[in-house]
Amino acid sequence: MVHLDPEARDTLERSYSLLLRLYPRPFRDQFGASMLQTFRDACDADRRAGKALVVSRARFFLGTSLSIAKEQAMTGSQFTKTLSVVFSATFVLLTIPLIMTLRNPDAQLRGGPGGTLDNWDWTIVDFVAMGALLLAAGTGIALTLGLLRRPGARFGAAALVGLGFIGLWAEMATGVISRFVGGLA
Amino acid sequence: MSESGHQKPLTPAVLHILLALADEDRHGYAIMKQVKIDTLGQVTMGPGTLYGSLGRMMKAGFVEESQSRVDPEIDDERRIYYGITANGREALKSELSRYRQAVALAKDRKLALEAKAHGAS
Repeated sequence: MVHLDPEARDTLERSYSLLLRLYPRPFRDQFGASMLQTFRDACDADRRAGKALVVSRARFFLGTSLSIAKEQAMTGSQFTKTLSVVFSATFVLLTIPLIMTLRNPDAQLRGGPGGTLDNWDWTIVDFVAMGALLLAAGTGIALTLGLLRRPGARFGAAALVGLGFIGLWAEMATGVISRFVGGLA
Repeated sequence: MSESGHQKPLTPAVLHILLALADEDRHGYAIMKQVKIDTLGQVTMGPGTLYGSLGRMMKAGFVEESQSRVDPEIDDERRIYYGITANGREALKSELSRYRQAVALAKDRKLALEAKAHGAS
């Protein structure tokens, strides 16, 4: 069972607050504050009951992300719908390293010493970089699918964006491309 | 909304929220907890489903924001309570009536099947 310290809980709450901003404005104005309060209530109740926060909060993030896509699909323009799906998917994907990092007591995000290789230890910079990469790749794929009509061209362009994403990720994580290019020179 | 007795069937989420609000006004997290208790843990309603449904139920006139506070000492203004309206109560009655009819029908069918089985043997 994994319990979170106050700092980690604040990080989770701030992330949830950011996620709520993706709802259509009328929905956010009507329910945003209540949803954030419900998130706090759930955290408090779990803490009082001695339950693990990580799994139940992951459910909150996942369910809310799906709900954002649904609300946007019902009310937003095509552009905001596409962007919301991309943003929601990015949040869902980033939830995985966020939860894994918060489970690590030595993680820098929790004020720990960090430097552990056998556990997740993403920093804010890692999240921002990966978020930007995912958003760029998602928007790129959405744009190519919107602009191109021929199935072959759409598949090719989407694959190109996907390869670019993987290449950049590998470069940022290991510097493999720089080393390769440096080796050729 | 149509006349009583001719309401469209409710979604499971709307039915559970109306049931949770039937005896007292509740705030968001209290509704989620009550739904879990009512369904013996079989239904866990997330915040997205809850507030999406509440928005549509408010538009349909089934629920409204309530001024009631269980304990004003611990309930600050950020915790908004929701209460069932007369329309909501009517919709709930109508839905429960549909469920009763379905259960009665199922019982009849089961009796008919048993009668057939007995007749064949």
